[in-house]
Amino acid sequence: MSSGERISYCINVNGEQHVIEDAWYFETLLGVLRKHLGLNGTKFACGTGHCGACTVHVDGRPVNSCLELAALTVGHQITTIEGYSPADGSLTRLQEAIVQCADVQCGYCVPGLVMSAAALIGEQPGASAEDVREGLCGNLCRCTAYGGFVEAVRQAASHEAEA
Amino acid sequence: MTGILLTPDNLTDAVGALLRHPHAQLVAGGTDVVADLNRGRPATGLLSLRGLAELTGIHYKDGRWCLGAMTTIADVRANADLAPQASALGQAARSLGSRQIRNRATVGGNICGGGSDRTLIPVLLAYDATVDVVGPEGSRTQALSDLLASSGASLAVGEILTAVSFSVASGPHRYYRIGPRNALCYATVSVTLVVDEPTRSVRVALGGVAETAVRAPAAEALAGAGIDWQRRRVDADVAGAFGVVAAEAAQPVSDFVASAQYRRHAVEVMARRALKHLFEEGIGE
Amino acid sequence: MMNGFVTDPNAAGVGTPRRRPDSWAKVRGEFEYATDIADSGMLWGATLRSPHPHARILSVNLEPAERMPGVTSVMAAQHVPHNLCGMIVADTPVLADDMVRYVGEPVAIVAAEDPVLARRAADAIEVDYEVLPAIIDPVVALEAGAVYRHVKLIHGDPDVCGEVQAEGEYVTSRQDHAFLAPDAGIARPWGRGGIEVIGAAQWVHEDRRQIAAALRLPEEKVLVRNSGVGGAFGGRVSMTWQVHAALLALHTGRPVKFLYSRTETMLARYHRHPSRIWLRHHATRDGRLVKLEARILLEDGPYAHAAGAGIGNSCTLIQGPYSIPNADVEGWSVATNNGMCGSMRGFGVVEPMFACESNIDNLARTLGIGGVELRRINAIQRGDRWISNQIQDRPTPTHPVMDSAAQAPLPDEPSASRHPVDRPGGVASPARDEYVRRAVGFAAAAKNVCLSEAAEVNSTATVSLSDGEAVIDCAAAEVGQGFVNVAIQVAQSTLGVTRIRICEAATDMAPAATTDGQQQTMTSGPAIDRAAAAVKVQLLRFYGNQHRLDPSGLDVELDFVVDRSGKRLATVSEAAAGRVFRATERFDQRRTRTVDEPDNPDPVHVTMDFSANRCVVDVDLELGLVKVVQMDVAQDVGRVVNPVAAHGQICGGSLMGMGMALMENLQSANGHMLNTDWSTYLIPTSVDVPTFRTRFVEEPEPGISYGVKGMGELPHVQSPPAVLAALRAASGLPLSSIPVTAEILAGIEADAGIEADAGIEADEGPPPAAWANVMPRRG
Repeated sequence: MSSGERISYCINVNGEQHVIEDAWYFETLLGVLRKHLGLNGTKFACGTGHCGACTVHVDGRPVNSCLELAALTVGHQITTIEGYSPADGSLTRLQEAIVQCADVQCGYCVPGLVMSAAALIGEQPGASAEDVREGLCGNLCRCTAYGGFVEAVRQAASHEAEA
Repeated sequence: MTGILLTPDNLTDAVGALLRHPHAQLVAGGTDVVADLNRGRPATGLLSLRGLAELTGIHYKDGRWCLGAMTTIADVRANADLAPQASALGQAARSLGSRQIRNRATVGGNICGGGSDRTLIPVLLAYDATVDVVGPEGSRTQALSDLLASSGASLAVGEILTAVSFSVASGPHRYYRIGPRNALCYATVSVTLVVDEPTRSVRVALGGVAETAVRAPAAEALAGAGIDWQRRRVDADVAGAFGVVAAEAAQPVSDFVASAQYRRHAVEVMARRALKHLFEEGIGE
Repeated sequence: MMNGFVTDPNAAGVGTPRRRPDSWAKVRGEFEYATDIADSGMLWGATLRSPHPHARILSVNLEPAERMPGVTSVMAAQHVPHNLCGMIVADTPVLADDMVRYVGEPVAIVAAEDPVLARRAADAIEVDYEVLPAIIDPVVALEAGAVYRHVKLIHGDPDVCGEVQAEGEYVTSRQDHAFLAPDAGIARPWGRGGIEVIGAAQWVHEDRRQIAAALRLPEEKVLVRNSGVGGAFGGRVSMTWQVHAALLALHTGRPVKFLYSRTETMLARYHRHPSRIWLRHHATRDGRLVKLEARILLEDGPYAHAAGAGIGNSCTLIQGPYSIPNADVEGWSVATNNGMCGSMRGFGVVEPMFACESNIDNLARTLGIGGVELRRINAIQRGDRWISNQIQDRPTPTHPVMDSAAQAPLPDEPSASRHPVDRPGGVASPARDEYVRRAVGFAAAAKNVCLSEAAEVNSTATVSLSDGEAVIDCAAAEVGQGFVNVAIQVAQSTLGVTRIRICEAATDMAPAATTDGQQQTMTSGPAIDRAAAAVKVQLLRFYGNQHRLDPSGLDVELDFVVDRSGKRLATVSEAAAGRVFRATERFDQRRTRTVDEPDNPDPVHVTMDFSANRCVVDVDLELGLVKVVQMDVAQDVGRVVNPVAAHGQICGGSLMGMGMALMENLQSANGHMLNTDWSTYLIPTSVDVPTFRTRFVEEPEPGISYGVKGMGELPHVQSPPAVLAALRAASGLPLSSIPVTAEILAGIEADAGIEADAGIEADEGPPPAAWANVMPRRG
């Protein structure tokens, strides 16, 4: 058990152990990733779980990191956009499909959308455009009206089904 | 103000911790509690239920489903037998929030959470669910309806809801919900209809139309008597009357989302349709 | 859903689907926004805001915050050197002094080592308020004379009457920009006594002007840089955190960062004006418009901000894309305590276009003429005069956009195996096919392009060429709309070089136009074009000189100097022989005048753009559930620079308008906003979105490089009336206010008394006398 407002613990992010020192006990995973670890790819947008810009994988499942208490992720595998993206600077097939098919405008929703879609493709290979729209309803975009993103994810899902 | 994060790994410790820290908030999936913290509600201590293995698992035994309180909505959907059998629950789970939210929101949190989205309560009411509660006085099993009636699903200090159980009637189920947009929103109104063909009984639960979800006993009786069980049909007149009587069980309030009039009207329409098309190919998963 | 556009990383030049230079970084999560900026040693800011819509501040005690752990600075109004800011009118306090005039108005600020400590300290500040009555009804404001601007526009003969008349009163709601990135930014001490401010901006030089004035610093001591912006839509114009961060940074000597929550982002900023518009169309029996009468009431907040510009747009665009020989139009922008109002995509035009298009359909029904036909009969043409007395002297493809949208093939009828996601109401909806009706609506629209009414619109750009790569310096703000790519594509076409990059906008460059009013492409585009052209001339003159060739026989193509026959003579890099070529050019839009000088030959608006939207909806009328199925949009765009980006602007803007039509309403009761986060302020999800088919109508704009024109706002102008037209066709209901909620569409009359209990301002029946008094007498 922990006591006191400031606590320290160790979390696994993108395959590496990180010591988090003197974090507020109620600090969210989103806050810890950004403030303590400088991993800014995961975005803060709404704080109530309604936009998905903060989506990360915990044990491979997409969750809103703004609703995760960081201290409770001890012992679990956290993957952020930095861990998902290839280390050599290239793009995954899904990311390539997005830059090809979508009019990426401000881009703020995109990291969360990539993480959400990456999980969707794994769970629903061969997802139709409608399945994708349903599956991505937790990721809001204000700029693009989703069209290119949906097509990109559908293509990537289709490829996953053939694989 | 100081606060603490408590992470017990067994129920007894959890109950004890709650008694020692009565201001600590229980955190199940976190989708309600942490959202409120993000909104600026000061933290007064948090007790996480994540470490409690006793609260996990979906079991089916002797015709009854038992869901641990920490079962996530995603777990409900993913279970190969549960959603097809308890199709109203499956449909409600499908419509709740988003994938990200479903991966964390729990059955127990949805019942006790106090947040706006209490999607599962009317469905569980329609299944005549019971809940298991563990507390300083020991453990008990209680009808969910009793719990709602006595305390609106808030538990006494030190109490923890550990599981929900229900039998699934053999017959068609319907779950309908509507909201201010077509996804990712609280239900303005929901109607759940559960039919047990062998006993020719009907259960109806309404969400979004009172302080807590309610059953509609008069409508249930009307439906039970009015359904043509032999031919598996429902007359339009019976469905219409059913809708009207179901709406009478609703005592909605107006808020900035919808008026009381609309909620009552929506119940009538949704209940009527649910019954009218009961035996037809459903809109369903 | 896409028209089939894909981006091409190797494309170059105007008219190609060149991939944006920043999409790689964005998809990997490596693109930096204001929310991401962090300096070592930085402090965190927090703001204490008014809980009252109107109150006198009796006392402010900062001491409880000052002694809290981790706090380095606490400030209130007395610490602000010049406590007023504002873009057009500087009447907005940086920190409230003796009065607060809206819930959310900033009162005090704190800098601390940690954001939690800063927040706790801000909440510990003691403010004693004397609560005062608030003006929450814009008609009451009108009655009380709380008017920022009154516009009166008479055209032709205001007393003439038409054989047929149709009138209506229309109401629109308060809409939030709801960009994804919350308000955030950082200020750092800079040089000796100066300050550097970095965050989301639409006009860095104007931000600098206001920040410098508030701090009483010379402008040279203030450096404003535009960060990566997570959406603007007109919403990054007012000073929220900027002066606050600068004050705290100057006081502490350390960088200070602000990061607002979503709720604070919604409360602290301005929103689209709620509006009430009455209008009456007069026409001949065969459908020719004879006269327009209109009374327009725009609600603005307690400070002027950009109030005058909004109502000016409204009064001149209320006529829609139609030629109307006579008009009697009056408009007011009034002050309430319900929160700030200001520019949002389609500024001042969304509201009147909704009223205009709704009433045109009303007129069409009265005449017994089809809506599309009535619009075609009256479509404004080149050479016609607007009611502002401005001559429409630019390309006017009103018929092409109307015809293109109206004649687009309809989507297939829904199949029996329709995916639940496409059901009105979503996956668990009771809207079985037998309860769903499909209906079609149509709307046309016009919008002014560029800031109007004597605003000076110009941009300066510098292009430099070194070692075969060109660099563009232009202070035009990229806010997500894709200007960075447009700039590069223009320079590629003009200069003939493909390797081009553009620097981030900052005030150490010459000023550019604000990213506002759809004007950036057609203002900074020409500046960049001219600068690029000048650099090419320099390069070819140099090369010609070196090689005894006539420069007029040379050109640059795809990174090579070529001769008349296209033969490659040298790479650009070789040809430059180590020299750097640079040119700075400025482009000015033509001069405009205010609405109040009808005899001045200058136009009110630089130019206009036109569009039409044919919208298909599926509705479950019994429950009022809606699924917008498809929008076919045709838009007059001058010349498409990048088809993927243009398609994206039309889709995104149209969807935003659909949100306004169906679900977006920042509601308030007694001056208090009710739905201030994204659990209750709703924008369309991927489930709500329709299929979009877009068509570009290209009639090049004269006098503008490549004939380009603006396009970003107009989609939001045409879509709310298109959706409403379809809903009226489905329901037969008048539907004169937006958003149309389910219960309105289902025809449920709510009891006003119950609404009052719920704290909602109910419709009070006939509006007070002040509104009735401004109506024209019955003709």
